[in-house]
Amino acid sequence: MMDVATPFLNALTVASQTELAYSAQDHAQLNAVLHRILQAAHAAWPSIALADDRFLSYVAERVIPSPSVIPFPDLMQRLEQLHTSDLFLCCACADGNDRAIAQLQSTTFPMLDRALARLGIDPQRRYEVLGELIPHLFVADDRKPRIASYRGKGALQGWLRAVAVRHALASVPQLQEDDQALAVQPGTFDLEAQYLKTQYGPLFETAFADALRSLSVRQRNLLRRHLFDGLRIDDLALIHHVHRATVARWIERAREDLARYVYQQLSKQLGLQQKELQSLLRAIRSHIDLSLSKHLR
Amino acid sequence: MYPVGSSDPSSSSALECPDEEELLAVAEARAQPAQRIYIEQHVDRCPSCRRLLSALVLLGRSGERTTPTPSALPSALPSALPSVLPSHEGRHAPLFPFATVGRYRILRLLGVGGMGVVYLAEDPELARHVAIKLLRPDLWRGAEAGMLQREARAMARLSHPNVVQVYDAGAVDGQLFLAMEYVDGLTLRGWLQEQPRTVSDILALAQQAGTGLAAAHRAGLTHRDLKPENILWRRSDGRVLVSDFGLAHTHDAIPRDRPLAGTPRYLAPELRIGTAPSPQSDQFSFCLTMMEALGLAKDSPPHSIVRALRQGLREDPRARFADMDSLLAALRPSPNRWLFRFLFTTAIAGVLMAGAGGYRLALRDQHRRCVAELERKQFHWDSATTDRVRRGFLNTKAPYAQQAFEYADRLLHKRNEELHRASEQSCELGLSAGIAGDGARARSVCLSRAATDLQALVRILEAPESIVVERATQAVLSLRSPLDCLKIGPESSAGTITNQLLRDTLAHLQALTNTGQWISAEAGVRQLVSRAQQQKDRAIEAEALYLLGRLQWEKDEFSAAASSLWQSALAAEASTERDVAARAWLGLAGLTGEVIGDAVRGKEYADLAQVSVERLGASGTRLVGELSLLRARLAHRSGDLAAAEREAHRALDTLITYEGIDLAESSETARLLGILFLKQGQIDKARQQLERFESALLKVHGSQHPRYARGLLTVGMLLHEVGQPVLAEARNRQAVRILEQALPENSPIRADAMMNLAVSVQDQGRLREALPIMQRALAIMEQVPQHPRDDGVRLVLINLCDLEAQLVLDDAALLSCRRAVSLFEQAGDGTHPELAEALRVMGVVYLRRNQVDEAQRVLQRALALAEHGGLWKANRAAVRFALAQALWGQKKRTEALMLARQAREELRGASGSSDKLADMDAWLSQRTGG
Repeated sequence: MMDVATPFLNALTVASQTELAYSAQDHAQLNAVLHRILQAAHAAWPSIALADDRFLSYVAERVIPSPSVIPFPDLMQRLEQLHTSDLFLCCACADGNDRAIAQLQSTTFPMLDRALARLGIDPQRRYEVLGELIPHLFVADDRKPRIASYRGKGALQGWLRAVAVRHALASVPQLQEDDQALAVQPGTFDLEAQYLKTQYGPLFETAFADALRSLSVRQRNLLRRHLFDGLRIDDLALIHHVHRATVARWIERAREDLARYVYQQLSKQLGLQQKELQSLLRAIRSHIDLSLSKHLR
Repeated sequence: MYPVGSSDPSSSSALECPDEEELLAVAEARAQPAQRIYIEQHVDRCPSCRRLLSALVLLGRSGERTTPTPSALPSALPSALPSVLPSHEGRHAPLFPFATVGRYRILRLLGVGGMGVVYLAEDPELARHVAIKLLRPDLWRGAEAGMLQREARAMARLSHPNVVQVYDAGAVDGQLFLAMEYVDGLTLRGWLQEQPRTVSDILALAQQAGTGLAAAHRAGLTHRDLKPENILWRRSDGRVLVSDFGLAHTHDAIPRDRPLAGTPRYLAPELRIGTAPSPQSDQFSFCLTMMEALGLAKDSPPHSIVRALRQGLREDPRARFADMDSLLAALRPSPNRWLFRFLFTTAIAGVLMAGAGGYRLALRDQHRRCVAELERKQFHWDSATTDRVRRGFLNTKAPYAQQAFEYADRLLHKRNEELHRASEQSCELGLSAGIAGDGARARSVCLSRAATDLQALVRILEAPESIVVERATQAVLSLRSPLDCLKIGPESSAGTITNQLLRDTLAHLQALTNTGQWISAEAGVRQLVSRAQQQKDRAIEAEALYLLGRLQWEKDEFSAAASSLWQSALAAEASTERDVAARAWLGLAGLTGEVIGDAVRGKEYADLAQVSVERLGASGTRLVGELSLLRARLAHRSGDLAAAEREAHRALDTLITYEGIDLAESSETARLLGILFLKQGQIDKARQQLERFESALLKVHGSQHPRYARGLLTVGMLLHEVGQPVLAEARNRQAVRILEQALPENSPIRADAMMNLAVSVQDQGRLREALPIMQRALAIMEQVPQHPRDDGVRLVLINLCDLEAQLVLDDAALLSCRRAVSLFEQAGDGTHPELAEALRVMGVVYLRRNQVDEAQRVLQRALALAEHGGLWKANRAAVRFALAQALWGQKKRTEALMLARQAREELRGASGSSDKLADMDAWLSQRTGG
């Protein structure tokens, strides 16, 4: 078996800026794994010509996240988890191989189109986004083409989808400033917020902004995601690795904190009668309850 | 790392956004805790990353998750590979640009089309802007590429003010490109959409575009793909230029998938069967483009123009104009010339008819011309068309496409024959009557409309979406048979003479509506309504309003729909369009009486419909059947089951004579009749009827069609009612399977099927197994867009509530029931029969909790509804029995015992209820001591 491990390790040394300690047995094992990687990649993309040493050094540059030292077994484990055949295609694309670029487009763009469609982006805009994505992915500007930043940790499809969605979101006409919009987003305070906003104008806005700042990072993100981005309790539970009931409790708590803070601020500054404020708070709370039941069903 | 900060002012530019792999790891819940915390901190300050992350979570939730990473390399890797990037046909992929193409520098993307991507570029040598079109390499290979290059050079030699100049053609790294004059303006499509244009604006544009096309033809070039996108209007001086000569690829591989390429709908018919492109085929595309443009104009074009365009649209290329110049001459508005021609032909006819000796000859000639005239109506179900439709159907990949095609083919073939036979006979009738009386005119108008309608439908069937395939049979059936035209009596007036262009538009919109493409139809229908009103064409107005009413009805906008149908009926009455009037009254009656639930008004409208249908005489047979069906439904809604059954029988008989036994037995009417039998406890008849329904559906639609699944569900419901849950479960499972293959996730019928499956599982005592199925049904139903979501949701909720009550999940049950009840109340449906079931279950739960007063309250309400005829017998008995228990708890003993005895009597009539009967007997004997 030809020795491909040595050039690979050389490339790795350059990328990680450190020498790796390994035994002769390790070396042989690595060689075998690299051969399998090559075999699989060529089998997956039979029509794409790419030199083995070029591909393996491309892998070497990506298997370790940043200049750092890792033990040999860790290296082997990482290699095994890497989506190397996807990297093979990307390497060819990054080198400007027409056929690879065409292959990548034809295998993934329909999926990207569907993903964008599911986010409610209209067809005309989708094609523009996909059209713009092409120079973005494959054309090197001052640095490397964007496709080169795929490191193979997840599947290429997922990565491309994320890139496309990012691109689509960035080019959507700038939405209102999220947090300001949050103040009147149905479900935060419902009608009351709109009422308070028109009634007390800037005072309310300041109070709301302060209130939002007083929350924890998690609370803020929860509210924005739940009320603004349309994530459901189950989605949030997934992101946070907790039970849905916990997320529900967190959200309830965040709203309560928000309401209480706004109430305190306003009561301090407006000098309303105790009774008026009490009824205001009751109104706010009851609407929060209503909207909670709406969102938690 | 990807610096997004620059595009988002709210995040500091020093902040590096996490890369896609990190965000994806969080979205897919495989990130390390430290990574999660870091990302939380980041997205708190960076809205665009937060939105991206949320979008990724949303996308991950509904299925299209990426393939999981293989964990063990040696064995897993090779097999896992192909799934990582599934191979797709990939026609959507736009082409990638180079930073430079030849000597041109790419500036920005102008557009993406079926042929490739167009960029704005700069020619540094001449310091001017050019449009660079990069052609899709998958369409242009080898010899074809060479041919294209040669043609492009020929095009480059053509220089005309109305043709987009080609500067250069070549290939870079195997990628073909064209450098063309850059036109800053709009395509014809955009120009028409920018603001309403007048007929004379459009004709002026047509002259310019046609001049360009004519020049190219003289230079020996054909366009091959003329369409609104290829006609450009320059903003600076209003000049019109034709672009993209010779780029169309007539190869079979022209992408049919919608988004990028669109269907080659402007293609001349002869090109579809592989004839070489010619100036005549360009002429066809040109005329179709202009015909469509004129359809969007503010005013309507003179008849002469329409006639000229129609000649350019003739199926036979030789019947079109000799060249573009003659066509353009005919499109030049000069009324005097046309008047002259009219007088001229009349004079000739007069000369011919003058000689009395030639009368017989003239008669035969007249007959021949009459038939030819009617046959020319442009509906041909010939083998080429059949073939296109078959391919279109199979292309949708619907599992039932083949079967759907075969049945539609059979029906269209039949309609085609009927049309020709009717034309033949109509001419004979007209001749024997001596002079062309009003009746003959009316028949001829009717036949011509029938042909137009059929042709419009066939055009849609040629490039169908899957919903079209699903509805094809119904769409053909919804058109009247041409033979009906023959039954028009001699006294009938011809109806209003209408603008043929509007009539064509109407036929197209009607075909869209009948094939379920409601969203595509609506804008056009609204436009047609206002066009017809402007032109005071009440006949078209009536038809268009009728379509509008149907579309609004589909969207649950009931009061808007009722108002449109009302206006349609009035316009139809005003224009003596009796057929439309009858349909509009029928629609209004159904909407008011059955959907809105106003029985009195419903009945009034039904009477009006009856008058209209009677006026139609023999030609309205089909509507007689619909009227009976309507009456059956109204009677069903108001609880008069016997009357409903009578009317349903009558409707079914009419259908059998009109459409034949299979279609009749597989119709909604047949299903309704079966259900009516069942509701009246006539189990055997119900079973026979519904099993015939099921097998007729199988015969007509095949085993993979959603309609067949509907048949399975109906029979499943019957089996459920007669206490054979094992058989019911099998039917329901099969239906669920078919529907999962055939319909999108959020189809209400998928939820129905799931719900029925849950009920049949529940019936066999497998309650725990049924619960998640029922919850799934609810989840699907909640995703159903708008109509008929709420109705569906409340029904599932009732069943869920019942199931939860049986599982003694009392809190959950009460919650579900209350939600159902409040949905009924929100919809103003406080007397809906299904509401009784929700109330019954609530009553049972209250009884179990010993809340007798609450129980008595809801059960009393349930009983009032149940006696109104809404519930199955067995359930009505159950309501009585539960109420008896509640009353007993309230110490109203006499009343309680009376009700319980009534319940027992009632239950005796129903089958499969021996357990419940035993319960009642036991309860009664405990309390009466005997």
